[in-house]
Amino acid sequence: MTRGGRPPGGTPASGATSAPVGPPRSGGVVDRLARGLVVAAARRWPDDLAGIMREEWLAELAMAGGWRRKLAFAASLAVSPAVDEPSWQERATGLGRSAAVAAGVTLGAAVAANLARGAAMFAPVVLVAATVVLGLAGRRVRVSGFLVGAAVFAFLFAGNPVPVMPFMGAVDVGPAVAVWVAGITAAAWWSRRLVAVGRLRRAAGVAAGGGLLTLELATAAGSAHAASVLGVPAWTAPAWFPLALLPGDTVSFGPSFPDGSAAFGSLQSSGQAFHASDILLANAAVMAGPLLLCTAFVLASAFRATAVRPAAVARATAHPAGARTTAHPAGARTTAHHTTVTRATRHQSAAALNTAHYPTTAPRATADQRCSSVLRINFTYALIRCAGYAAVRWVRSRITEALASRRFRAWASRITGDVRRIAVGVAAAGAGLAVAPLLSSAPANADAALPRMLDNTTAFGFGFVEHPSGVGLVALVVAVLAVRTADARHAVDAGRAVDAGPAVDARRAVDAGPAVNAGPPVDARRAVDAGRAVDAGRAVDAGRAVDAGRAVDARDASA
Amino acid sequence: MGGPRITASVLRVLAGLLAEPGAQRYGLELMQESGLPSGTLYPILARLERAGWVESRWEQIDPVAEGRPSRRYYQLTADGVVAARREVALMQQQMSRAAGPAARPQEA
Repeated sequence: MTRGGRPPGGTPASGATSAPVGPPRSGGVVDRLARGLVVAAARRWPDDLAGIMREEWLAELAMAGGWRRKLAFAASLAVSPAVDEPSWQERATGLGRSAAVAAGVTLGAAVAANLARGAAMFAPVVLVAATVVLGLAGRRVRVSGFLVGAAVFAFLFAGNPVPVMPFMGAVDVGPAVAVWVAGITAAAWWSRRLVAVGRLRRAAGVAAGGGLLTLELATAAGSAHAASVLGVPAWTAPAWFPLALLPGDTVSFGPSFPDGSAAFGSLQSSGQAFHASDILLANAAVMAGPLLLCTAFVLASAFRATAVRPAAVARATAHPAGARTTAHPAGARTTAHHTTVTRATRHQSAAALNTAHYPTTAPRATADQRCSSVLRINFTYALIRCAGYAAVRWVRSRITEALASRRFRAWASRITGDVRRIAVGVAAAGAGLAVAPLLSSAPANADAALPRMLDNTTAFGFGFVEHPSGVGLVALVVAVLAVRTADARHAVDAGRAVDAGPAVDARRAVDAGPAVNAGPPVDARRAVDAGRAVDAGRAVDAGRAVDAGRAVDARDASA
Repeated sequence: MGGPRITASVLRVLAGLLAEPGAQRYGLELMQESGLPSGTLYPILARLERAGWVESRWEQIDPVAEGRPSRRYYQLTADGVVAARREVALMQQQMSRAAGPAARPQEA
């Protein structure tokens, strides 16, 4: 394989004689465009190939002939995946899954926000609990802020088919979601960078501060139109987000409407007296609640286990002293030691069992040598038992080999995997179809909506589940998420099963060395082992190992 | 070194290279022979080269004198010839099996 430059001694190929030879056509918009596309395409290739491919493509481009051919050559390279990039089909699959996650998060956040609003004075408690739950869930999944923003926009827009919210048009939802996406993307990016270098506390501060600032700005942007219509002063904007999360009538400001008549946007009703702030805050609440929960989910994904642990391992490798506390597989080693001991105990028990099972054969043969017939019977009996045991072992080993063969495992995993997916998907879709109609609990008209807006308990959204297509969409999202979750769990289980053998061997090798807990070489091995563990996808096990390692180190330190 | 994933596009590239196993071919030539666009061909060539089935070398010319840059030429390695023939034959077998006896030439 020849790479990295032009090899000396390379000869013109015989095939080169048929190559179109002629002066290069320089200049021209098409040439420049084609060259630009080729250079941009080469940048996406791996570092070791990017320069080579750029030179090769520019050379081919110079010989490509007409402008159509040049453009086709360059455009194909520009839009096609590079050698290590996922194909378009894989990208489409990934995008579909990410979109399902974004839709699921949005639906979950909206349900939780509606539950919180229905909890009256306990609304803040319910919201905090839901934020924690979604934050924990976000640590396991990476999701795009753009996709969640699109899902939130679609939800808020489609969730108001009966116009019970006065200010829920594109001029309200659009700015709110745009500001939220920009802010959350910046905060998540910054947090992820800090996590990558191991600065977890600073990353948490950036995530919390950036998330709150984003929510403040998004709520203000989404309520600016309402404030201008209602006559609410702009200087109260910083208070809109926190007040929107509290029960209604906590604080009132803005113009008063003593006769209770309302004619704002799509809302036309009459009832009890209210302030403009009541309408503004209730309207803002249906945006702020789901956005708050989505913020927790998106920002928590920056702290995913797979994002944090490699950074920790890298730090451990760079600083051996830190390796002892950060990436310590001693817990795993303890587990391996435990496994060894357990196996040894099991062998001893088996030996004891054998001894107990055949206690009479040898002793009886030595004790009663004159009874040759009895000896012969015992010997025959033992022989038959041994032969039977050997036959059973042979059959069992053949079956085990057959079951362990690659072809059988591939076939079995394919069949069982497909059956499992179908079963999980169908069950989840059925559950989604059953639950979706229950989600629509918004007031059916403006007269019913106004009192609930004033005490900020209006359930919002899910108007689309009144249509069969909306119910089907919810069922589809639930099914895709359920199948994805089941796949992820299955993959983790399979990874554990596959990794168990080699990992135990490696840990034994470390155990065999003297002074295991002292000395940089052992620390380095620990770091390498921990890195392998994380790379192999055993994030959960590695986490336990790190925790256990800290405990063992603490014991070492105290000793 | 593991073999590359064999797809229809990969087989078309291999078939093009196998037409003259000793010949060295440049990208545009392989595009014409295989009928694949550049965005499909070059990733395949890179994967085949990584797998050791194909080797590449730069044309030894003086770009100034020739008035054009050097091209990169591809050629099947010895292992690549064997592997490519095996894969093409395997595909032919599968195709003939799928086509069934009716598609086979009638014996007189």
